[in-house]
Amino acid sequence: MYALGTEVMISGQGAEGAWEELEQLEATLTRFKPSKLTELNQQGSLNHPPEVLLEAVEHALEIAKSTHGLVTPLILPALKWAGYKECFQAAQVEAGLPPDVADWADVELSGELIRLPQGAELDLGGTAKSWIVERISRHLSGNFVIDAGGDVWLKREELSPIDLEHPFAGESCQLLLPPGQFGIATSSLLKRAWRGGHHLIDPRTSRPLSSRWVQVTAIGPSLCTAEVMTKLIFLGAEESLEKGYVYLAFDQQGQLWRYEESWYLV
Amino acid sequence: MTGTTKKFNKAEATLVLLSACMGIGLGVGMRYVKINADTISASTTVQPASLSQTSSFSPQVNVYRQSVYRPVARTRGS
Repeated sequence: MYALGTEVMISGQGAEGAWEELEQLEATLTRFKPSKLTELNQQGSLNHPPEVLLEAVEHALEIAKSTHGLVTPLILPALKWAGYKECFQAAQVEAGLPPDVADWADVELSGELIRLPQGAELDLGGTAKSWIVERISRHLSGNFVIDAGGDVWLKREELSPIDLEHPFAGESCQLLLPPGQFGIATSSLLKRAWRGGHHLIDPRTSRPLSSRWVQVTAIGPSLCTAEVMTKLIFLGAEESLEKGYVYLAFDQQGQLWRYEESWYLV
Repeated sequence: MTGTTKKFNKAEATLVLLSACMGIGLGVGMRYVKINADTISASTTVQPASLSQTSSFSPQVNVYRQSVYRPVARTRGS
């Protein structure tokens, strides 16, 4: 089923409840359709925000704080400048300089009010998908798999083979995970990309980031954390990576590397 | 995480050695349970956590150069 701007698959007992909550969360948090988030972005503030918007923004700001602003929801004006307004297929980079990315610490957040810094807008796309997926998995019991456009959150009592798509249509690799609950997040510079740009913004430059990698995967006990770690790798912040996660990346030539305090060719 | 050092007496050292041997034995055993011997040459074991991080989560994820088993999901950029 199409949701969160991508194909989503939910399998497991309780999937109906998970779908229902997914639709409710998306209706509140999307920036592509009129929502409480778009209302906040247009007005610059929102009184009595719904609880889920508060929680999602709080989550995004916590990540911004823990990554020293490298992964921040305030990149939306820069993302629009880079061309990704509503549809990336028609995206074009604007003329002139990109707008600065506002400081996450300047967002006011309370139970009664969310207020953004002047000119700032939030894009929760970098953090909300994994947050939503982990949240709706509370409806599922026993073994389950949620695949949200290639970000996978699963719980299984047996080994879990996961195909890792090659960025250049080469043969897939395969990950074999032990029994347990895992998040597998993959980010790519080749998806949601257009002439002169793509969807991953470097807040230090306000422009689409440049990297030696084209596709990065992180595997660990939290899908939310795994998703953030992929962004940190693209931003060259390996010193900030969470311990106990598995990191894999394809370079510009399509070669697969893994990270263990340094990068090694697989 | 910061490391600490500890001096062992003979009994403790023997216990540590025995534990280490058991750990290695278990690890090797699990490896052969999990991985078909024919495919080991095509795989790489990724174990990012060092021994000093035993309290943290450390999944043993094997990476194969090709699809060996029927996948339960496919991860990709979106």
